[in-house]
Amino acid sequence: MEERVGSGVKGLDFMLKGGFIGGRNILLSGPAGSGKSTLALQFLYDGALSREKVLYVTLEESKDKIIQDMSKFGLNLEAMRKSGSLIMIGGPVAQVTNTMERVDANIYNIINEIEIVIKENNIKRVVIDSINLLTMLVESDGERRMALSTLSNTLSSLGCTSIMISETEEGTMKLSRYGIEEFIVDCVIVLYLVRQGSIFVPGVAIRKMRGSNHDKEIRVLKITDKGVVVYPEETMFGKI
Amino acid sequence: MKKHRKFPLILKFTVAILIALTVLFLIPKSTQAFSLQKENFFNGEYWRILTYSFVHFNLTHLFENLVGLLLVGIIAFELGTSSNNYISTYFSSAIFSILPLWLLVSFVAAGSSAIVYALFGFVIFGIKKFDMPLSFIFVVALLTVFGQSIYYFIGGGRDLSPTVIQDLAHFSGLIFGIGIYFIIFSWKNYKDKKASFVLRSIN
Repeated sequence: MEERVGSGVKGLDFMLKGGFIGGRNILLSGPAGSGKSTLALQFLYDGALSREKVLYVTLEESKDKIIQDMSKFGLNLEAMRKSGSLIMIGGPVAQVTNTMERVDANIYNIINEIEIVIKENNIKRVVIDSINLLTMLVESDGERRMALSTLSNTLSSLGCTSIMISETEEGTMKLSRYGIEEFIVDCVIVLYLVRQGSIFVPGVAIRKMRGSNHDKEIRVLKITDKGVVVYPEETMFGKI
Repeated sequence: MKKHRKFPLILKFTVAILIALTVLFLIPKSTQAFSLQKENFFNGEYWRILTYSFVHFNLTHLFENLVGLLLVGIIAFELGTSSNNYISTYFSSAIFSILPLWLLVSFVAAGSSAIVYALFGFVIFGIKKFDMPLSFIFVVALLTVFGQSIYYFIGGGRDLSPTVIQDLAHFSGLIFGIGIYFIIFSWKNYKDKKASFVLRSIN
């Protein structure tokens, strides 16, 4: 029987019938403000609490800002970092792209660097936040697919359970930015922000999970002071 | 519709060189005009440092080098050698590979065999497919270079000096090619290492 890895969110584990399948790649997509980074960091925090070594690759925000923001949800990332169980690499998008230009690095060098860090530290869980920058580094869909496939295979071959975050446009039903990411990964979790009157209501759905049964409904998700909470019994839209 | 594969640059270059060598061979007195001789060279005919590699003494000499260039070109193509590196090695070895030997020993240089060995050294040291140790590759390469002299030496009764000079020229080519390989390999390693330290370099 395959090993299940907790997502760090109880309600989501219930929807996943016990958690993610270990060693698989998960695409976590959704519009801005839907709770992607928080959910992904809860997944890492859960691993770090179980004494696993975890890696957070930020390609958008600065590490200090992330640590500060997550402390509001009770996630003490700084302590995890100091203990050595959480490794954070990367930084703001402009800094990443400038450094890449300076040393003439390409997407495969970035993948190689992630591989080096995983091997050196015996990492078990990885979050890449987000893959949008990586996918923007190549021009054609073919190259994009090849690069993502390389990343996905690298992470799987190293035995890591990984979450790749993809930011989608608001109001779209697309599962990812380019429409190819979902075909490469083993599991797709989509976060929604559905407008109801004058407010946006967040929701979550599992759109794909290779090798396992899973919940098919869009469930209610809330971002509370304890982070992302999923209500697996509540559906977003009542039956008429 | 049937899709035609693009003719790769390494093979295009190899074919062009084979044609050039054959055409030059057919031109009368080309060897005399283009071979590398100390007297002409030091009298200002500096182009001979490159042109010597395009002319041959006789048909056998030409044929051996045509076969050698064709084989090494095909091996390079099969192993996915970069065409830029291949072409650079060709011309740089033509100019520099036999220069030390030629300055030390007095002989008329003609033919592209030193280049063949330089390309051979450059290409075979890049073989990653078969997990062969570099020492084994080097021994095979040395046997290829000195095999004829060893054979004649064992057989006895033959003046070995022309063969030894020829072998030393080939050896210079081989060492030059291996040297080029390691320079390119080290540079690529250095660049890759630098390029794979992006995310960790950001505070």
